[in-house]
Amino acid sequence: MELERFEYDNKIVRKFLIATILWGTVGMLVGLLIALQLVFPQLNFGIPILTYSHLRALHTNAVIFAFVGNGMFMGVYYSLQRVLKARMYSNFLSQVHFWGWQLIIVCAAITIPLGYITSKEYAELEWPIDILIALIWVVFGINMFGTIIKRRERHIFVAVWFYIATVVTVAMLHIVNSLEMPVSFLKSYSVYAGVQDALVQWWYGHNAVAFFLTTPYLGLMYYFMPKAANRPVYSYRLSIIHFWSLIFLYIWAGPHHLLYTALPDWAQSLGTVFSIMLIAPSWGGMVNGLLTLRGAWDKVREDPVLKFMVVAVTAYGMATLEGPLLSLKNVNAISHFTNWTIAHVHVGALGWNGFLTFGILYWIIPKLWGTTLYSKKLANTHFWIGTLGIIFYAVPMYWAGWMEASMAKQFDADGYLKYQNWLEIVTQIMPMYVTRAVGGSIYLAGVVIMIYNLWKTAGKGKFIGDEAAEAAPLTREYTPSPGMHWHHAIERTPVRFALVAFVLVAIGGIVEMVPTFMIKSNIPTISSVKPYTPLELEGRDLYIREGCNTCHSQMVRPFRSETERYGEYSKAGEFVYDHPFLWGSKRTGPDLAREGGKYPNAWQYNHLMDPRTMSPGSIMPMYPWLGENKLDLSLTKKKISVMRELGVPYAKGYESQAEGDLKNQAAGIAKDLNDNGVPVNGDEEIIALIAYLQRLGVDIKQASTVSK
Amino acid sequence: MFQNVLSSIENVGLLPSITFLFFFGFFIVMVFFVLRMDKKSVKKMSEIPLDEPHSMNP
Ligand code: HEC
Repeated sequence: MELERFEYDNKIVRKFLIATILWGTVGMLVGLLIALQLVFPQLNFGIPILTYSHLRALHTNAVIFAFVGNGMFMGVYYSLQRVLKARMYSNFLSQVHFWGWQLIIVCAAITIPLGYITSKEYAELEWPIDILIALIWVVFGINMFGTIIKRRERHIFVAVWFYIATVVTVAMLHIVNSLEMPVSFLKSYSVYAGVQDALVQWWYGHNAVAFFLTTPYLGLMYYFMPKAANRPVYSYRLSIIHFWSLIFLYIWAGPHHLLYTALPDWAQSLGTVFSIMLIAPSWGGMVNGLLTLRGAWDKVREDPVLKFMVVAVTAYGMATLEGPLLSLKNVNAISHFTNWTIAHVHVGALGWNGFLTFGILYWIIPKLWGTTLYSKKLANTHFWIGTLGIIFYAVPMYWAGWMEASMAKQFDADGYLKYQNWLEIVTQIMPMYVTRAVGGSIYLAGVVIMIYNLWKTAGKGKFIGDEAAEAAPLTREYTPSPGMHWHHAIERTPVRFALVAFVLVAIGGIVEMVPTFMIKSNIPTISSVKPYTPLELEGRDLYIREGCNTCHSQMVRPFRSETERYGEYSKAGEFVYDHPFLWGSKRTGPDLAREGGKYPNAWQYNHLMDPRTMSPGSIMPMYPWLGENKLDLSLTKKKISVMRELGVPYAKGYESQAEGDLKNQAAGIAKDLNDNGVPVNGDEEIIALIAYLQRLGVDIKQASTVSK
Repeated sequence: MFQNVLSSIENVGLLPSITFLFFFGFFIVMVFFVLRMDKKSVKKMSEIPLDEPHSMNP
């Protein structure tokens, strides 16, 4: 058979590699800044775009989509070409993919801090950017399938299966969760409301972890670990079972983010059952990775690349054992809304994604530059510093989570909450916030060492942009080996393979969501729950813009400790007009679902302008600009009509009346504030936000007074 | 209230069991076929990442 000559495209790999390091550093720096703000809230300097609640989404998006995203593309573009023995399908598409993705990141870095966000976690970007993401993702998909089709290796290696599942599933998740109705160029409302929005969001959110942070990185593990250890994966059969079970099960587990909420019980149980089953394939994958190194442990002691990979895979195992445990209702009752979750995700992000990325970088850069690593010693230093950083990050956060939960649930002998004041809990965990910031800094210091080392490595080699290779083309006639017919049938044509994968993941989504949606037509709304007034609606949008939901939940779970502290537990019927839902996922501050009427307007005003005047020692940021900015009314009418289109029962033609109503209500609040010595005009943004806060939970309180 | 209506979808409680059985069946069939795979070709497949003798660079 005649050998064909071709060249691997290393230039695109280098581009993604640089982007990985650059955005990784940025993402971690932003994380460090907001970690410090939880200790010194003044560090926002009174500037909106530097405030915790504006930057938290930037941190998560940067780490997930910019750091891990580019890291994934770097690894995929390198390994895909090699296991398929073919150059990428199209240089042009590779460039479009690269520059398009960086454009998305830049758009995100601008819009998120400015508050142009949807509030849905890891899906905060507004609709024009969502469309751009979908387009660029399709470009990536075409480029990948094109490469698979023109491959010179008959069998598609298992790593590529993980890449295919990633492409297909992320596209589905992104599109379904981002369905939103535009109000203006940078403002939209989710088409789903309340419980449904929550279910779709966490189906997405959980599977962003699964199909963006896990499956592609497992693909990378299956390629780069054998490469680094120079031995084949422990069991190829196990990797097949790993793949199909993992993608089948993962898609169902989303509702475990909503345990004890107003989500229907059967959906919660479904989430728990599938989460527990997930332990099996996850650990199968971990064992398969670690056993690849059997008999090569002497090498691991020598080689920093393998060290990073071993810790990465171990962290994967830890996180995927902990995840299912956190899905047990009684464990979740403790962990949810606390820093426990923060510890959990950072074992995954810093350990699994971070360390695997570092391992690959240390391996790939000498290869691309045709040289050896500049300093093994520095790489080993990085390894130890990084590991220390993870420990200093995770341990205090676990401890904090445990303390938060046990303090919040503690009753005294007379049956009262022992820590009635939320601040008592906050002050207790301050030392842990400090230690966590130290841990993050240590980890980041390791990254700086790595950058220096890699820079030096590249400097002493010469970059090989197009790497020559040769291989025989595939022949037409082909007989699969015995026992493999079934898998060849799906695997030989990548499109068929993608379809099977798609059907598997789609079933999970459909079975979970359709029953919830079927009910949409006849949700028995709680009759006292009314749509927001125009002023409250504007206030709600400010709550979203300012990112208050990054620290405050609006979901009282049915525990005595919560009903004592906040009031009646939350019901599904309360959220029917909430596009999007704002249940939140973390309680750095207390729940606000029953905030309405709890304090006078003046308290809310002073507290927002500077929380420490009302709550000494609070770590909530100050929002002084809310008292200065004039409320923008230019979209009010449009917002009302979009909401009506989404099913909120504003009377026909209410738009014309909305502005008048808004001003009346604002004047009332302004008068009350003036009477209590707070000088306002009534057209400030803060008035709308106060109106919204004073509305929270009021409808349900009325309902119970009426029924009594 | 919403919950009441939802849980009154007929036998919605069976859903987790049904899907579990569905997965279980899928799993058994998959394991059956994977075990029947030919040993030699499995070995060849698993060595694909290591098989790069044709790269012209060191
Ligand atoms: C960094 C986290 C954080 C952010 C962001 C944050 N808060 Fe807070 N919030 C807290 C903490 C902690 C407390 C408890 C201490 C206190 O009263 O200040 C609190 C308390 C409150 C309270 C009093 C609750 C009660 O019943 O005692 C309200 C109301 C409130 N926040 C509203 C907001 C609004 C509105 C925003 C967005 C503009 C916001 N918070 C953003 C952390 C935060």
